[in-house]
Amino acid sequence: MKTILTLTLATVLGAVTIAGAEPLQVVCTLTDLGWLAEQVGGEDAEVAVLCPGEYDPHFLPARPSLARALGKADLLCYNGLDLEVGWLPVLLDKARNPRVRDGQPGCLDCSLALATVLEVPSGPVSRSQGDVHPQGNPHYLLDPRNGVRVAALMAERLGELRPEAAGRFRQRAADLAAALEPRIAAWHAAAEPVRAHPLVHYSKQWEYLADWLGLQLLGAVEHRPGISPSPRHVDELTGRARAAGVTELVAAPWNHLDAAAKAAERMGAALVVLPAAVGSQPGADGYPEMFEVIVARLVAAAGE
Amino acid sequence: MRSILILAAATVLAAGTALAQSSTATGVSRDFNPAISVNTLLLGRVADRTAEPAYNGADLQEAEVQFTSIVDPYWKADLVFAIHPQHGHDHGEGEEGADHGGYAGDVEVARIAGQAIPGGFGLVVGKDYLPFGKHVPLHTHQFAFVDAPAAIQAFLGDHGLTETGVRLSHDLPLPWYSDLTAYGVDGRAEIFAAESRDLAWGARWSNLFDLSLESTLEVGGSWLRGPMAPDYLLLHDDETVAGDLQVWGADVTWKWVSAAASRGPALAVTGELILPRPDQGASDPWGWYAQAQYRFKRNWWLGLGAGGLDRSLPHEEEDAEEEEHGHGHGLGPWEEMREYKLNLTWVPSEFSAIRLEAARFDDLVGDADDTVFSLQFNFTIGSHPAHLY
Repeated sequence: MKTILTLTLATVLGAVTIAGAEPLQVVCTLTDLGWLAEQVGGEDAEVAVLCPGEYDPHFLPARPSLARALGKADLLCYNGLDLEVGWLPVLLDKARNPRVRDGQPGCLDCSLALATVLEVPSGPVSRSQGDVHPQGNPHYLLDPRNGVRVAALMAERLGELRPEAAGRFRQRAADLAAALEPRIAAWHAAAEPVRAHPLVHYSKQWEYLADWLGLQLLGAVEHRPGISPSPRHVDELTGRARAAGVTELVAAPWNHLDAAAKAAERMGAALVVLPAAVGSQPGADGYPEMFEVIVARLVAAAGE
Repeated sequence: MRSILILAAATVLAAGTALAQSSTATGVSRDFNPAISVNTLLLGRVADRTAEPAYNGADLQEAEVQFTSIVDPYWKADLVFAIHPQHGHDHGEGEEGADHGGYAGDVEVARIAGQAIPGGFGLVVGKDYLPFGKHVPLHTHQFAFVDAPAAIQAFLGDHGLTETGVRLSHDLPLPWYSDLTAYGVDGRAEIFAAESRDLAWGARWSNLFDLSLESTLEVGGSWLRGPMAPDYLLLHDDETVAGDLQVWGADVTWKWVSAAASRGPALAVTGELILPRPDQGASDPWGWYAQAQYRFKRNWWLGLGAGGLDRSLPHEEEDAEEEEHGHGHGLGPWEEMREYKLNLTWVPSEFSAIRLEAARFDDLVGDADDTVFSLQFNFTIGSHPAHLY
């Protein structure tokens, strides 16, 4: 009898040990965050992504099946600044996972890593400004320096959830920073020709990219988020773009490219469609690759 | 003296600012206010038949005020109050062409949902729409058409099936997303006998298959059982039927949302079958609807719908029912009917929409045919709503 009890106890303890060594289940809302989590988590984490790169993350259809991955998660990493407000609350309700509820260690708002949030409204906000984000522009992952910051934050949170692997998480985040920093400098230097002329962008998505690369953004065709631009606004912007010598109108793959193409033609500018998320276009399969494509396309269009 | 006054004023202002930032002294703070949104539907319409005021003229269709907040680490709360016109038939008086009775308020939703329930269970306690099929859980502003399908109104209540009780849900361990919800409620909606002490019970099983990155197929089944309202079968007033009511339902939804563009092309097709099975009093009533919604341009939706019902009333009671109930359920107490709907909706932002709709109702037994043209304004103020799938 004693032998049986000992064997049973050993089996249970063994099962617990194996369970403890299993990778943390990490669910990220965006492909950019998913790529960063994979680098930081390594073999200590299994990463799933809710919003495929092809979808505009503002408007992901909240398929209940997405809640299943969220239901098994140890850690949810989300962009924050209300980018996912249209679908993440629904999925969190359906996931029924207390570990990733707001306020739990398993729920990480990655925007907390930012040193500066751009375009935080300084005055009253109303819907007359469109579907404005009251906490600031949420597209901060288009500045790779923010990707480095987010990776460091992920490492800290993963370390809290799995203390025995905390050192490995920190080391991987440091390795990632060391690998990205020279490339960030190189991309910045390569973008020099693009700084010669202001750009027009289709939607207010590229402010962080412009802030990092030192680009001038003259204005957005869709100047009120989520609201179709009026002909009067496009006329006014076209006049300013022609006067300023704009040569490029940048847009995300999910923008209304027919309207963007017409606006670019009127401005005498090239329409440059840039990957706005990892996996949103061929060639942008990883976070660094996305910036390779972005900078190469901007430079190529500036040279035309 | 003037300097002292300025200094004093500055001190008071500074103190006010400090109080605004920290409410410890006053106990007044907006930090923990619930998220608030208000949705309003304004409706103007004309119908062939002029007896029903709700179908001829312009009025508030519904205003819905929603409060949502986290209560504590254990519960999240939702409260939804609805205000809508109150017509004569709302009093159950069966008045032909009843006058507008002002506005009435209802508590549509008052529920708390568990935030820390272990084992992947979902627990909801309180008043909420019952999870029966695809249409019953929708708020009015989420309808694909101005009104609910006739079969839903006739067999599941034209004022919404919202009941107080407990519901428990779980994602079944199957290769696809499969959600089973069971509930027990104090049935007080119009389809139930409100004075009965018996509870109403029900369940819904929903299965969702990801066909591709952009498309899904949902197949669901629903069942409920409760004490039947005496007038559920629309028999003569002095001929009430006691006993239980069972309703079975089946639904299929195919949905496709293009990833190619923000708010790009999308198509959703839904079909639902409703089979009421009273313990006694009728043979086999049934109803159905099918509808398609197509977003053909960024801000434009086209809607196409059809439906029908057959109550299978005992023939000799038909005349008495027409006489006594008049227009008790919307435009008509049809025994057997078909409906056809077409609408065009302009959605300039996520917060407003304008819908133009034509609906045709064919009475297959009597002569209560009708054609209704509607113009509906839909707007939301307040916090950004999350979108149901």
